[in-house]
Amino acid sequence: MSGAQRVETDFDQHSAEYAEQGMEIEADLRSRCPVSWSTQHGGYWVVANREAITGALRDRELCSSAKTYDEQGNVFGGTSIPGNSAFHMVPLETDPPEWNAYRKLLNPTLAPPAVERLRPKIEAYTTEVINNVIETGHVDLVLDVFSPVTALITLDILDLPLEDWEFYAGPVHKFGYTQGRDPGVNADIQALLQRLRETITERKTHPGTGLIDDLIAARIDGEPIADETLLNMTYLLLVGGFDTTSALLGNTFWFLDEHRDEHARLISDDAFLRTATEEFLRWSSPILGFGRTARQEFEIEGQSILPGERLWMIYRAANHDAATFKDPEDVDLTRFPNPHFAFGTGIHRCLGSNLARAVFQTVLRQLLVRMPDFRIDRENAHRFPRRAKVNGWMDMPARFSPGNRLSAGLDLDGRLPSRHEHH
Amino acid sequence: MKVTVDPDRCQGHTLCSIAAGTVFRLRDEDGHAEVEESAIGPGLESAIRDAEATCPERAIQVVWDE
Repeated sequence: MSGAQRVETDFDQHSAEYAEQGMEIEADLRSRCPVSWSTQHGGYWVVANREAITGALRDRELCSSAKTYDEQGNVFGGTSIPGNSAFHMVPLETDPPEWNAYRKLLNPTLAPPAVERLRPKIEAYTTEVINNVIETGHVDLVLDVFSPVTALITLDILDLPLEDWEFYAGPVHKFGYTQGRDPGVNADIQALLQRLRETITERKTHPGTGLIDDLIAARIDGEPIADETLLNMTYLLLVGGFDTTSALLGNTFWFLDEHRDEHARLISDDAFLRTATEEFLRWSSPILGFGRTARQEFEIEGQSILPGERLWMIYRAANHDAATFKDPEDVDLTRFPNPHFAFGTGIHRCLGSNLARAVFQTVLRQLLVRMPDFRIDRENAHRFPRRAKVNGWMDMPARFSPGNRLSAGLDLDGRLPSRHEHH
Repeated sequence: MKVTVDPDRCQGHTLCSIAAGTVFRLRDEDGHAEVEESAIGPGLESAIRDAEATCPERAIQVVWDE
């Protein structure tokens, strides 16, 4: 297949067309030209089947995630196409050997045993967040439940004030679908970053008990981590922890609203919940794709990729590849084996994957138990109008029969938020 | 049978532990899998086959007995 003719397209993962018809566009690319050349954004490869993504990412020497800046501030590389100069996401946008030290510092906090220790807190936050709406009979699943629960547990891990959850989660959520186009949201993000800078400075003299403090105290080759890198790492933990899991929950509840016969087994059968979790991850692909940069010449699907060329890896296209997944458009909650790329593939496997599963399973079960007759107001729920990376929902109003508050079973020091007013 | 996890390929997806949690032990520090050879026994063939097939990194190799 070497030297196969390059197929050019006008694919653009930022387009409204892709947001509306992404699955159809991916199916066409996968069948016709799984490695094609988009003429948008200065030109880049679009990688749309599982084998080609594997070929590019499994060998860590072929592709780079690193983001660099020249003296004029121009950005090169990273995981966005076109390059995004606003944030350097560390360690996602670094390569070995720099990557190794950062990843080693972060791994233990989000590894399976650490997440198991967090489960009582995840349960308690979820219970309290649902308590805020349970007596009313109406809820916005995204804004009232998924957003606060994912934010609270992330802030807990970092040891940031829980009562500030909306200060952090609101702008990150809105930035996910405005992508820099809304000046008000951009200003809120700048305020968030400024707060994080001040917090990092403050915590150097008054340490807390969270991951921020671990990172401040850490030494790499005897040196402390630079302030700007601490900020970048903290910001990545926020954006990685919030709307990704919220997107998974949103897509799942959209499905469960119409497939009510699955509810009982999800509540009662742990093994079923585990395979269902992987299937919702595969099918909904909360992260649609990520960018890379070729480090050296290599070949995938007969196309020669040259050093410095950019590639957009469509994880959802891999997750719906019939070469690996039988009837990929079907949601089969017992599907297993299920070797999906929802958390990426290669060394940058989502750091928070274990936490994401635990939060997802906890919120899923509590909502199905406490709001068994929930019905989404499907006319008034809105997906992100533009996606690129996060396959998320702006909002998702629903109604249910009011229920009773429950004890969270954990003393949370009254630090939990009251219901915010967005209606 | 002989079961191995390639440590350079394993990235800690943890899917193998869903299939055969006693055989694929997850390291505390990063969730990467290691084989607990003493746990491999009769009746686990199907679970180990699933683990091999569900690894997104194809890090698991199983050599079946003749």
